[in-house]
Amino acid sequence: MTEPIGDQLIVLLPRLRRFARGLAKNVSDADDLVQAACERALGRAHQWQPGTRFDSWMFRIVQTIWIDQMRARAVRGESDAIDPELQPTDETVRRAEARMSLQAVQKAVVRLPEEQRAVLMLVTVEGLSYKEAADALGVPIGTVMSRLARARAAVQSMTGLSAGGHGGVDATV
Amino acid sequence: MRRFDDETLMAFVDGELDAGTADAVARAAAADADVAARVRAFQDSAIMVRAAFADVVDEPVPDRLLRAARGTAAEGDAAATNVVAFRKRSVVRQWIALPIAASLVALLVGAGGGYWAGKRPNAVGPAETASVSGLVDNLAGYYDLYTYPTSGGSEPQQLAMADLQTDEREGLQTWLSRRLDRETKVPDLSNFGYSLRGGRIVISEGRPAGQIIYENPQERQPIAIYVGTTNKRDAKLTLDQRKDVNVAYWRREGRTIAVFGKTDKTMIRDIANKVGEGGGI
Repeated sequence: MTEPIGDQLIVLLPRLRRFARGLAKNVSDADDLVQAACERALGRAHQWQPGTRFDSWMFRIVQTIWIDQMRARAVRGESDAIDPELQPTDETVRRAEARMSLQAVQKAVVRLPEEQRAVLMLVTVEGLSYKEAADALGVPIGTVMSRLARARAAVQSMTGLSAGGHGGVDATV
Repeated sequence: MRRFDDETLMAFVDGELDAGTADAVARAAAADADVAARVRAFQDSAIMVRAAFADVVDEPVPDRLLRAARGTAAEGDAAATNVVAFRKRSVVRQWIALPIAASLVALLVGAGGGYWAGKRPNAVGPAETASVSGLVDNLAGYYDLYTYPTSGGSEPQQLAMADLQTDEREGLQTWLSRRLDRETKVPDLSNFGYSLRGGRIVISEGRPAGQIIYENPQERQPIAIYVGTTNKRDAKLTLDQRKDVNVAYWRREGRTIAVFGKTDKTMIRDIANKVGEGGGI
């Protein structure tokens, strides 16, 4: 039954891990998510239609499991703490890092509202079109666009400049 | 002129507009600095997010995921397996890609190309200096943050951290250009006794920028070249200092370029002049 999927799933693993990294708040949660998605995909391999995009199908499975896990956690009242290993201990370094590093961008992404994270990752990182992202997430294209615009503005404001409509003022130099 | 909302400008950057609208946005951006700045903010945010997660795909995939993907996961291997029931929903759709007007985005992205070429930085026209203390503070901060002392010598020595450690200019050029979405050249500083150590992407005031790191094998005192974007006018070479970090910086064609390090001021200035002169250093 797993024949139609074959090695595609193994080839896709690095990208699935990357997508999950933008959703979950730490590496091990992200990998748990990918593992659960792999198991679910193999169990439902017959539902994937050859000729359609396998990556989008898998992204949707990852996203569905993640949303369900979030809801389950909310019901259990668990907090969703950010992985302490991502936080440098030295205060000076932490402040500097927060301003200038890509780790700061990663943190900004995982602080976004849940529904914005997935669309941001799918479009800007995984390169899906708006239509493909809309299909993968099961929402209209207009929703993809509004979430994406808000997510990008938020990431920019969390890392320095606010996006859009800042009147062309250049604070960089 | 037509006004464009944020979503339209974002769709332009993402190559999601039809050719006619994309053309109208491109013309508006060329004519109006405010539109251009908003477009670039959407470009920058995408570049930053992409760069922030780029390295995950190069990490080794854990064995447990390989086993899961092969369908050979051991019993009890998966804490997260089937945590919740799968809700019935059609997961298979027809994927139809919209035509992508990526070439129109390139009109803007490519606009600042060729920044290493041309005249010496200190020969750039009206003598507006590039002086803004924020940049110099940031560069001095980078220096402390991304270098660390090593023991073993009579004098304190430092090494620099790089996202990509390499001594190959072409490889680093490709890497930086891809991460920054813009052609970025890596100068050869071997005539000054500096060899390439690598590069990294930093965020400066909410914008992605590249840093190219060099080390002198004798002094082990790294220097770096910073390549950022700006929408200010060209400005001539300026020298500044924060603590013991010397900085030489200038602006040209939408780029801010800086050479900085704890090396003496004369060397930093000479390197900056060479870098500004163009390739083949």
